[in-house]
Amino acid sequence: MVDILRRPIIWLLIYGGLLAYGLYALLHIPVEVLPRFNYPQISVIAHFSGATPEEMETLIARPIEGQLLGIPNLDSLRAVMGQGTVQLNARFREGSNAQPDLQSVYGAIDRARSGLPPGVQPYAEIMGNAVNEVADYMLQIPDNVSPMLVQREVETRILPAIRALPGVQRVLVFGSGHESFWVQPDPVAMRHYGIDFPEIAAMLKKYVTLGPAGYMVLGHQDIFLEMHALPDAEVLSNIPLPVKSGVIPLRTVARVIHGPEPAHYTVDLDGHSSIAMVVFKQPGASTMPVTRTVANTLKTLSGQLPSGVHWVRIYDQGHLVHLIGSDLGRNLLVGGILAIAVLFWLLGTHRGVWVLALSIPMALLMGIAGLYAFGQSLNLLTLGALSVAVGLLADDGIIVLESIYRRWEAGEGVVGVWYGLRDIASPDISGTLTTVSVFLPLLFVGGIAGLFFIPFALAMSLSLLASLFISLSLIPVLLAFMNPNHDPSPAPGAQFLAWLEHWNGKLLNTTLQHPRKTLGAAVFTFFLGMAAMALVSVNFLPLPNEGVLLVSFTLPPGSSLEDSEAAVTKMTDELHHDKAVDHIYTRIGSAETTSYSERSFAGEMSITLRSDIQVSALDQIADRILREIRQPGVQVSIDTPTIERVGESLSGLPQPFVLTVFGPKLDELRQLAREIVTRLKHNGALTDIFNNDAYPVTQLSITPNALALASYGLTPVELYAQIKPALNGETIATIPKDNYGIDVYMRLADAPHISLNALRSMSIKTKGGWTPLGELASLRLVASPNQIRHIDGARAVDILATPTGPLGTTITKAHEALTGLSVPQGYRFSFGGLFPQLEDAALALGLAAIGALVLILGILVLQFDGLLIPLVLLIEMPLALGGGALALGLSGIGMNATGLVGFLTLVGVSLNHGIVLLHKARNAEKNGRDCESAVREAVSLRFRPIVLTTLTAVLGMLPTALGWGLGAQPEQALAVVILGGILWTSLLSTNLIPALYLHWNRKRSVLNKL
Amino acid sequence: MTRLILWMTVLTLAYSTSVQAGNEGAITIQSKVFHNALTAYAQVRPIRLLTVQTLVSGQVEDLSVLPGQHVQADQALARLKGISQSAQIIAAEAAVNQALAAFNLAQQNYAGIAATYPDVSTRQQLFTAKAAVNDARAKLISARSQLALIQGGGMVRAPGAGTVVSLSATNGQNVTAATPLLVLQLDHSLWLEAEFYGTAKQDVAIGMGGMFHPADGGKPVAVTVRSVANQVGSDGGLSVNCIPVGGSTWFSGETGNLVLNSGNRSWPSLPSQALILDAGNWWVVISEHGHYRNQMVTIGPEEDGWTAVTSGLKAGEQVQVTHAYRIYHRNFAIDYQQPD
Repeated sequence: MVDILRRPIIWLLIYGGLLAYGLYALLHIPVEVLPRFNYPQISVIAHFSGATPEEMETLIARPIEGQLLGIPNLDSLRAVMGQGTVQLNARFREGSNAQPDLQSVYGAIDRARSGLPPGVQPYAEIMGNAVNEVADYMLQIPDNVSPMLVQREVETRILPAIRALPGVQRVLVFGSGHESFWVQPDPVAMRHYGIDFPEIAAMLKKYVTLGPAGYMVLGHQDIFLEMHALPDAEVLSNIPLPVKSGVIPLRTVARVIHGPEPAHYTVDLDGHSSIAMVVFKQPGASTMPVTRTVANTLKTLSGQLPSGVHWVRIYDQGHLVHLIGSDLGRNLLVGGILAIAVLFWLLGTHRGVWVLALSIPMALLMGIAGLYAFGQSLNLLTLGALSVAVGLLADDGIIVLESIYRRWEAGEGVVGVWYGLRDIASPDISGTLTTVSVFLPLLFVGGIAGLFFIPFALAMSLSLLASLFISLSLIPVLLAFMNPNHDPSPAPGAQFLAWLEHWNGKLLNTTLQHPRKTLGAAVFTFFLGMAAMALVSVNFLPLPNEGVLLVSFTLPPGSSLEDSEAAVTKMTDELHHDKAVDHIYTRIGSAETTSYSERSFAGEMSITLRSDIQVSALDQIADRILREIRQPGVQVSIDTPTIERVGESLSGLPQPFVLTVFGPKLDELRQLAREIVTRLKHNGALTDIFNNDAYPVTQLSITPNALALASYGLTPVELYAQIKPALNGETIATIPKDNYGIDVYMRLADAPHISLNALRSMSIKTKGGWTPLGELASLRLVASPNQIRHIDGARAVDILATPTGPLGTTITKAHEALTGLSVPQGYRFSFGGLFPQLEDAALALGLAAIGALVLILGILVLQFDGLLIPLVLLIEMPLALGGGALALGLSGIGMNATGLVGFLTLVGVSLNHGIVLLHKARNAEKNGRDCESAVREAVSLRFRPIVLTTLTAVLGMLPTALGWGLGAQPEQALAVVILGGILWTSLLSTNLIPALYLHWNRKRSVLNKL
Repeated sequence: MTRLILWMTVLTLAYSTSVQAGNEGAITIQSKVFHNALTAYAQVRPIRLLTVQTLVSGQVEDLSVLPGQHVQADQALARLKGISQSAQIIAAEAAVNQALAAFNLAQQNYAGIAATYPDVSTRQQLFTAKAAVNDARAKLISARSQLALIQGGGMVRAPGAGTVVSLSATNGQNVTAATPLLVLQLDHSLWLEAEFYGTAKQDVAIGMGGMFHPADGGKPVAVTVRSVANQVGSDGGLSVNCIPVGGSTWFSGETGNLVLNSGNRSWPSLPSQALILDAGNWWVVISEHGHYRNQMVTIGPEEDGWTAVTSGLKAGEQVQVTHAYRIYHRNFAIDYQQPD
């Protein structure tokens, strides 16, 4: 068997291949902020300016829903229609692949496209795409430069170059209305000359043409003919219009201006109109290469911009990735060096120690290779796992090296390598597998929990398994080629080790004498730790200082764009006095070419901070900014852009608790929903009850009088054909010019500010002459819902709430509250929301925990062939949490998602020392030693490797635990928990565990004798 | 005692400060005169030769003008003898009363049909009833004009200054209603033609003053109504003609808007920006003693940035103007949760 260790070619091939793949993976693995969200939910967004929710429902939502509902694997379809916007969320069955689902959705959209109004462009994306928004740039435009022309330059010269960059998924450019020749008719002149809007539009269409006209053969050449009439503003102004009295030029009845079409959204930089460019990367692409090449390309092409115009970078996710990557990477390196240094200090500089030192980077490399093979990226979660694992990777190698050294010290030579390996292989494998067992069930947790836990679990498991493989193969192989006679001079840290062992010996004596009291003290420490946890703050996913804060604001639904602008102007004026603020980018509403869904009463404000603001957490600045901008009638919330985008990525999910009311008629639905809300508010089962759909907006309903129209010789379609271009505007044609197009657009100059009386007096051309609109139709201001909701194609109203107790009790109490409620025929309600899924996730995690426990128990029972040692070791698991909790409480660092994972890691890591120690004791007993001396010998023999593994683990994660570097902040809680837990379990493993084993072993012996 | 005075001073200051803080940006409702304006599309046209007709039967006497003679506006042209004033006044008054009764009946009928629409009555019935109201109104106008003529002693007057072109009747001739008396070429060869629709029709009267605003942005011209058609046209419009007050430089074919002043009325008023439209109704925010209260109102005409409030407010109340919209919706977060 020794021969297999001394076959260099085989091992060279194996490890050469692994190393090559590891290096390849290291160079190609994507680096991004968070793992890819491959949740099987597709969002579809469509914009249709000027449309009411009912129009969005009929013209866009229903045609698309009709096609989507037929897609296989579809689980549910939810749609929300607001003014000018509709968003549909198609959720597919668990386990479905998001990419093919996206293709199916696009196929459905294509089938529905012919039934959609012209110009409507639905856009679909996988849920979670918001987190792929990696760069936001704004243009600073001098007042004498037209934003419309700047946008044209960006769209024609810069946008194509950015889109072509590798890793770029999508680029949005918006800020100005589309370039157009805007025809602004004069109603009085139109009436005078007897010409209406459709007639003007028809004439305009006749003057724009571009098309092939065949080909001729001349001089042996095929000569292609092209005919085009592409007028400019001057030509358009002089288009002849036939009227009763002859022919007049268009300028007689209309003004033609070359300018942007009116847009129902605004984009500002520091209070001035601006153009925004937003870059999305491909899911799974590395963030920093994308952001870097975008920045370089913009710099190269900056000469293409008009004079005085320059880019201002607002958000760069690469900065965050760089921060996390560099700081965690540095901490990883420093931690690794410290761990290796302590190995040399305590073991000396024998070549075997170099082999051990090599195992840490090798295990990391193989862990990264494994992540790459599984399609994972390096992100906050996987990098965090690796930065913690670096301290644990030497564990297996240390105990194998120790075991081999013992054999060498006994003079066994090369054979000692095999025997040393054989001695320790079983506990080595058990120890690693118990650690990995904690994470394995998490790999099968689906849903949202899985999105966060799986990458972390994979990173930990793969790197630990890699270290196990290395400890069982590479280390003994390399040692087999080395001189077994090692340097007799003591290691530099030998004295320290001896001092530690001396004091531990005293502690062990006390513990052996008072095992139950010691256990009591450990339990007390556990409860103390839990009490400390109650005092720590909680922040789900704190991110380091990105240098930007994002404010989301909402005014009451239906608020005018002007009111929103006034509110935003007030907020930006206040913010400009804040010394920490550098630039402010605001967006109100959403451009039709984007996948944003805010209407004109909501938007976002990105606040870039000055570069000298180097605090680690932005909480205080965020609180101050919120105070500065708060004003009545405006809801605001603030966070970092990445967290905000994580929230957007998850926004397609339902709220925790939802009561859905179904029914055909909106008025009755709203009435029923109001009654339900009133009843629920008096019932204590629910708080924060919202019925967003109930917040009404005002609509002007124009209802044609059919008989009046008939008497004037007009149909409703003809009436609409005159009203729509006047008030809503219409794109008549598009004039291609070089590589862009200019719309010919028609609308009254100031249609939004027309008064109700003026609208009633608006002249409509009829057979008899001209008649005011008020004679032909009734104009009424009515209340209407600010949005309409569909669930699986049926009209519904969602009532959102937060349960105050368990779901089952909440639903029962809610049913009680609704007893006696009169529900009209055709209406019903049901309970739903994410809460059942959250409960299922909690249940799944609970089952995963039980599964892990059973797995661990199984491994231990197999290892030790009995229940006593497994039960003793399992006591250590909860006690280990006490050390981690106490460390977190004393450190003052808040609890977050990574800290939670730290506790999970502790559960697995806590058993390693105890397994190896008791294995040693058990073997000694089998060889005839009495229990106590076997235990003492085991402690003595295992003390050095336990100290080694503890110190390497502690030093390996020390830089992260100290919060060294802004990018390491999110992982600090994780490192502190594990550091505290490992120190505590080391103490428990060398004292309490052997004492308990001895104590119960003695009791069992007594019982057996009886 | 000193301490008591001190505390009272502090409390008063705090109270007044809080009241002042609550009243910041608020104004006191005040009455304002609104000029009721009637607006219509108008065009300058050449005046046709105007035929002056009789409105009632009688014998022509005192027809003293001759062809080529210039007459002034309102100048007496002839008298119709034989009008037994009292009898004809009685008859004319009876006709007016009858027309008025018919008009009221038509209005009641229309109201009744409108009240049961669409549950019982149909749209056709509604439209027919409305047409009947318009017709009855036109007849009432005509009857009143006749009464005015008779009350004026049967005097036929010139509708405007101009030159007599020809005579169509002679003294002593017995004429019936609508018989032409003479043809007049008015001095102002151009006048303004406009058509009024809707409720504006019933408010237009001869003699009403106003302004013509040319569509090309030219100087507005002061005008006065010189004639109102006897009945509405087939499209529901009432034709009205106006002449300029003083001189004018308008030209034939010029178009624009005619705005007539149909009378002034005083209403409680507030700046238009204080109004909030919510669920189809108009609201204001009343500011009282540091607290805000939402109040529904009914609005009337708007003029120069001020809007009349016809119900819901009284003079002296304090209404929030600055940030009124956001203060009105100050608690909207209770009912509306920000998406995402």
